[in-house]
Amino acid sequence: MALILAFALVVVMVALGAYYFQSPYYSGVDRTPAQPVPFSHKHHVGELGLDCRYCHTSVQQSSFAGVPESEICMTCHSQLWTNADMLAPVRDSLRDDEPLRWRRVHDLPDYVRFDHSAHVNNGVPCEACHGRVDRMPLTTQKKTLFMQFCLDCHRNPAPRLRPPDAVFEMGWEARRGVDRQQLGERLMARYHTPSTERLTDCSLCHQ
Amino acid sequence: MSSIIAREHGTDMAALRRKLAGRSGRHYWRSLEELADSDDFQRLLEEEFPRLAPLWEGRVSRRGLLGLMAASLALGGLTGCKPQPEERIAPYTRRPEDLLPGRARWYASTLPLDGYARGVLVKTFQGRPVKVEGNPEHPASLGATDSIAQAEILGLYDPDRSQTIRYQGTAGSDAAFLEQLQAQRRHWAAGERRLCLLTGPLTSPSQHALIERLKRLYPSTRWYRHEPLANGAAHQGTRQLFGEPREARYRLDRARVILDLDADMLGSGPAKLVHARHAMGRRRPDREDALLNRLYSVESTPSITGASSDHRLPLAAAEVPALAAALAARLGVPGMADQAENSPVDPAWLDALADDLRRAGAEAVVIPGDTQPAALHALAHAINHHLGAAGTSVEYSAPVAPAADGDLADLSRAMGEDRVDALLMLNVNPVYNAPAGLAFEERLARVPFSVHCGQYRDETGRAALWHLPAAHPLESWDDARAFDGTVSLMQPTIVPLFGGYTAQQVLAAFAGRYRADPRELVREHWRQALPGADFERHWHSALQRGWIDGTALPTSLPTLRNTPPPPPPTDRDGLLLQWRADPALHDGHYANNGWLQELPRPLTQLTWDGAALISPALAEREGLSEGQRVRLTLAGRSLDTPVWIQPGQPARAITLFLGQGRRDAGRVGNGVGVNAYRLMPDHGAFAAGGVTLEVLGDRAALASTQQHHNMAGRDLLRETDLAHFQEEPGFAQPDRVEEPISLYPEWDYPDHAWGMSIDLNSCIGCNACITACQAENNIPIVGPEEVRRGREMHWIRVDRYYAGPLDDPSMHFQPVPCMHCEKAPCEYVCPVEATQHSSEGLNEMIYNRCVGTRYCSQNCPYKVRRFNWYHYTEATAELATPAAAHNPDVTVRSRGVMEKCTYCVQRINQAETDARNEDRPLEDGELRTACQQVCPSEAIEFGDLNDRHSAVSRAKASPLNYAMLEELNTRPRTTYLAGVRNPNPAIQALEAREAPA
Repeated sequence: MALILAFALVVVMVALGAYYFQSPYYSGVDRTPAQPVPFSHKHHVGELGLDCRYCHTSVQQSSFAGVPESEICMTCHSQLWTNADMLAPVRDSLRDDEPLRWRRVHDLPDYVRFDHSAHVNNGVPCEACHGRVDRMPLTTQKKTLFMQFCLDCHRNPAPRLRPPDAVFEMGWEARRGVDRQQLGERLMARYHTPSTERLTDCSLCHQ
Repeated sequence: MSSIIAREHGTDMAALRRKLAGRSGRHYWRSLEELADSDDFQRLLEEEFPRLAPLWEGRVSRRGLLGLMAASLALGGLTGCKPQPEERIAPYTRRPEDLLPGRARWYASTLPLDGYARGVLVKTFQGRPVKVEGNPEHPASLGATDSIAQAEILGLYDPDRSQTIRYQGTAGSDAAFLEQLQAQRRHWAAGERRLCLLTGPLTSPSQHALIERLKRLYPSTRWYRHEPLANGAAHQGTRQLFGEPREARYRLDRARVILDLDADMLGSGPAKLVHARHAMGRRRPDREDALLNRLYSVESTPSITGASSDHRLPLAAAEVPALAAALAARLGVPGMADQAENSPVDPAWLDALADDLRRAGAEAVVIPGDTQPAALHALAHAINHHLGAAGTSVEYSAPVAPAADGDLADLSRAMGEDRVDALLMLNVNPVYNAPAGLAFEERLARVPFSVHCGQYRDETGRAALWHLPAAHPLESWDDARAFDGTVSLMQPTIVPLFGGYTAQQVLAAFAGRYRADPRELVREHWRQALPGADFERHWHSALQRGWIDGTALPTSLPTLRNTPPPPPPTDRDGLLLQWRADPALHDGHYANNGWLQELPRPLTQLTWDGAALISPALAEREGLSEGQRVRLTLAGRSLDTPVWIQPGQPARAITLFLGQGRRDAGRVGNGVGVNAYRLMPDHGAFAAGGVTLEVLGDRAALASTQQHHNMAGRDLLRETDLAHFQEEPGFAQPDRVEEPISLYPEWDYPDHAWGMSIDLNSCIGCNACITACQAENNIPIVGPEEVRRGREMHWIRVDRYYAGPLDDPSMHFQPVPCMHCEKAPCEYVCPVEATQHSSEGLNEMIYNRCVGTRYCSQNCPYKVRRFNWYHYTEATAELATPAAAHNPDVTVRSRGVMEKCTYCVQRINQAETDARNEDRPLEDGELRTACQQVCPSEAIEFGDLNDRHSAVSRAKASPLNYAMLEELNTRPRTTYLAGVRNPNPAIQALEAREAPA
């Protein structure tokens, strides 16, 4: 009897553990942190059609995509919505030379190296990790960003790769009738994508 | 560990000598204990956990231990279970032009040492300097740096640096200081009181111009220069010979036979990096076009120069001038004929050397040491002149540093006579490093207005009336001249962290310009000094490059006006005390730098507390063993210090290292070692006879890093002489198997296959790679206790080997990083797969998987893995590196985790990403590891083995290529080029005759 109870306890513990580590509480999926300014990607990307790189300026050259400087916000908002209360923190920031302090939505552990430039220059679209930001009124984490998530793609990048001009597009689809895997493999040759062995080296991301 | 054995039994030198005499063929040994191979040493090696033995010092009860274990299990196991803490991103409000967040930026700047410039490139991340590299275009760097330059990063962030102005020890304000200064200035201008300046050996043109300005404003001003590690003999000697002081510049790229007279030309002096590049660059015996050189060293203290020489002769410092005179006589230098019989060494040896020098003629060069008297400099340059080397392998220019009105002894005398009313001490610490005989501290108290400006509130900062914090070189606008006179510009890479002042700001304030902009002070000087209308363009290109083109001092051939004076008479018996700069702490300024304190000193491999070096003969006579404390007494003053038995030390010479024993260095450096300056009889005298040695009852536990293992007769180091190499080019690969078989599967490397080759011909053992690796890879400082337990964390070590007799062995170095074995024994034993083989051949270490079983380290035949026994990196750790000094590209490891050399995988990843982003292949040489980049003699090659034309592939194709412990079939990726020395056959014949049959 005791043995059965102990076994049941172990099963319950394992199940609870599995549930916990897959839960949004732990992974952060669907988490929408409150921001100093309720910035809407839906409005700026989906409705106005701004390019990602207009604000995330270093995404093609640096590991860090870049969060826009207050100055960048003010290129437009010195002309538009100049007195909106919602934008007061941005105006104050530039006036007082005091940075806005955004809450990080997509947060990888500190022992992980992630390089934005290595991905967007080689056909991995923003959407692959950030989801359809053009539909997000407030920025929300959509993927678990667990190591398993990274490896899914690193083991077989082909289905997610896009041509260079589609990397920053939201909701891009390959033309009808095109084999996604074949297209991806052609793109891999074009991007000189490293071998799967290289893409799954531990030290590629843990250095 | 050595002390553990020696505590019970003294070292039996006679037995060691018998043992060495009984050996035939080439035998290497690393420590006296290993050589003795006593039962105690064997027991120590066989103990299963020798490093644990001294740990049980504290009393922990069984209950307490169980409680702690339970708590750590509960807490430690659960820390990974909570979601990540929230992080904030604070973007710039306005981004600085050209700055990309996440990408490093590089600035050309200058780091001075002894006033002389070394050009560097400083790597910064968003305004935070994290790494120093050499500036390849700078004439004094050629792309290399030394340990001290590497460690400046840690010095910059040192929390012990001075952070505020102080008046009589309490916090003061700059307003109060300027008020007092204003009152003083009136007295100086009126000529009622005298201002004196004391600076280090400065070469800065802009500082010098400000000093000149002060002297014009207040005509009674006197400027004194304090050089703790030099005595002006070089200029005096050339003045005796040529009628005017000249600065010698050695062109070792043109020299075929080089004689180093106690100069340690590879390890000290402002041109050491250039010397190493040029002298070692010719040592490529395996190349068709090799122009081999031959290096002779006569030295009073074993140094890296002597160790790298083809012939090394130990000789007490005081006897070196006599040797030079006897040599000059043999070469026929006028006025020296009567010195021929006066040789302190075997005349036959000297004859052979003289023949070799004469044959080389203009391609020979003699280099005198800066700690030697003027007579030796005169002799050496007379020989150079006589051989025709002047103008070829040695050039002469005007002195690089401008002449001051006096030195520290002159100032001290003036202070004693109350002729100094006000004293500004700029970046000097004479209270610490003045010889006791000058009574500097007592006399300083008599100066009514004394001001000290320095990075630390050190001994002098505490004794002065006012103390001003100085800016670090990485925070300053400044300039300095390199060894050849090239003006190098220093630009700040960060705003002064603690509000320090630059030297120009302080001097300008004394001249009446308060709170001046440090940048303008330097620019103003150059706006006037640089000819031409287009100053801005000129200035910007100079800043970008790091130095001003065309500012090297012109060289000319001086005419010989006098014959050199005869060498000063010396007695040839009795103990002789010698002083040398500490190879890491320099004059003591760097004592609070943990990277340098923990840097194994070349040859002794001692870290932290230093020791007096004594010869095996002296140890035998006095019955001393390593760590034994002795009292050295000279002219009524005494110093208690432990001793270190140094093979190759001249029999009667005792060497003390300067730079230790700081009272007020900071938390790291206080009380480490003893202050040897106190015993100096006189300013600038680096050797003195008449010392007595008294053995004390106790011992010190010294922290040396190379006593922990036994070679057990394995062939780790391979080297030979040129004749043998020519006869048997494959000597280093005696039983190479073309296609070794293995039970393990072969690897496939589709992209790159990284590999390394280390040239034992070029390695000079300077240990710069150790500090460069420490800075690049966030390697912690562990402290002396942990080093004594064998737990130093350096990823690359430089092993030192001796061969031959105890009193005069030859010495060799071998850097040992992780070998990145093809069939790595560590990979197969990890139960959690925390160490893996990458697709590019790296043996990777995944820290967040590691559970600390240490099986990998146990199974590693090269002993290159390092374990974090404690949380060395925690902010509360005693010697924690400030977080700001960390390289953001490298994980900071925690307690319980194994680590080791990664081949700088962060640099590999970055270089591959950059190349792929630009859609181009990675070029050979574009990617360099930290140890490779810092190396002054280019001993390390790194690159892609899949590329048959890469430098590393070419190196590995050399017949000298061999793998360490090849017989284990681990197939290391890091291999060595065996050493080939180029000895003089005549001297070899002599030695063969002398050696016992």
